[in-house]
Amino acid sequence: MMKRIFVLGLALCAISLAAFAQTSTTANVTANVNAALTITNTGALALGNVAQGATVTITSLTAGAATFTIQGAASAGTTVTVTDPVNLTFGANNLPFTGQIPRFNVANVQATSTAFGALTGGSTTTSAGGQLFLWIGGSVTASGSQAAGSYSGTITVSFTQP
Amino acid sequence: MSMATRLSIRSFLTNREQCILLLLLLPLMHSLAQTPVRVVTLNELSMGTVTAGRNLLIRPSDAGAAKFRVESNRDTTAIIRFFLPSQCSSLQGNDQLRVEFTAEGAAWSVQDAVSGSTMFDPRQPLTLQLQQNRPVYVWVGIMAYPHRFQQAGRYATNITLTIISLR
Repeated sequence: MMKRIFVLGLALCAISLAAFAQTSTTANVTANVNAALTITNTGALALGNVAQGATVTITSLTAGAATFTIQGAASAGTTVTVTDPVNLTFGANNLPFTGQIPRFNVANVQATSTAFGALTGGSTTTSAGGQLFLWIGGSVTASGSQAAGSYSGTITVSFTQP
Repeated sequence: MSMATRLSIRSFLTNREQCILLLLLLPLMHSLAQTPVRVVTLNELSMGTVTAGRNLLIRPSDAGAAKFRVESNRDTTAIIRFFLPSQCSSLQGNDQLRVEFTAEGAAWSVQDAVSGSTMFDPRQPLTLQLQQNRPVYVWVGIMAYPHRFQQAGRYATNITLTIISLR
C-alpha cells in the first residue's frame, strides 16, 4: 500500500511540475572603456623682466618654459593642440607674444624632448602609462614706450585620443 | 523507463492504477514535447564607449539597450526574471567595471516600440499575461560606474532572462 501511495505521489509531483514551463535566453553586455583624459599645467611660462625695446625668449627647450602633463590612454595616439595668446596684457596695454614650437616627451625629461611640427602642436603617442609631458616656450618684445607692469596671458593646450 | 522498472511498477499497481497513472502522466509528456513560451534576444546590451571616471547610463529607450521578444503559443501567465551581473570583466586584464540596474532600468510593451512602453524594475520578477501569438517586447538598460583609473579596453558580461509560464 505504501509503495502505491509513493508511486502515485510521484506522478502527482510530475504533474505539478508540468504545470510550469521555463525557458531563458542571454544577452551580451559590452563596453569599451577609455582611460580618463586629463591635462595639468605643472608650470607657468616665466619670461622674467623685459626692458623697454628688448626681446626676451624662453625656448621650449630651456628652463622657464610652461610645462603640462597629459594623462590618457596607454600607448595611444594623441593629438595635441596649442593656442598661444597674441598679446600679454596689463590693463589696456598689450605686449606682443610669439609662441615657440612645443616639445613633448613620454618621460618627464625636457632635455630629451622632441619638437612638434608646428606652433599649434601635432600628434604623438603616450607612454605605456598613458602619460605625455609638454614644454612650451615663448617670446615677447617690449616697445620703447611699453608701459611698465605685470603682463600676463593664457596658453591653451588640449588633446584628443581616438 | 527501463524494463526492470516497468516490471517493478506492474508488480504492485493494479491495472486500474496503471491506467490512472498513465492518464496523469499524459499532461507531463505533452508539456515536455511542447514548451508554450519562447524568448529571443533581439539586441545585445552595448554601452559603447565609456570614459574612466564618468558614469554612463543606458536607458531602456536608448539604442544600446538589450531587447528581447517573449511569445507564447497560448494564453498564459508568465513570470519574467532577470539574472543580472554586478560587474563586467576586462577582456584584456584583471580590472572589473561595476554596473548596476536601476528601478526604471527596464521596460516592456506589446508593441515593437519602446515609446509608450511600461517601465519596470529588472531586479524584481515581473508577471505578464501573455496572449497567444502576441509577442511582448522587453528592453533593459544599465548603469556603469567606471572608476577614475579604470583600465582601458573592452569589458563584457551577460544578462539572462528567464520566463516561467504558469498554466
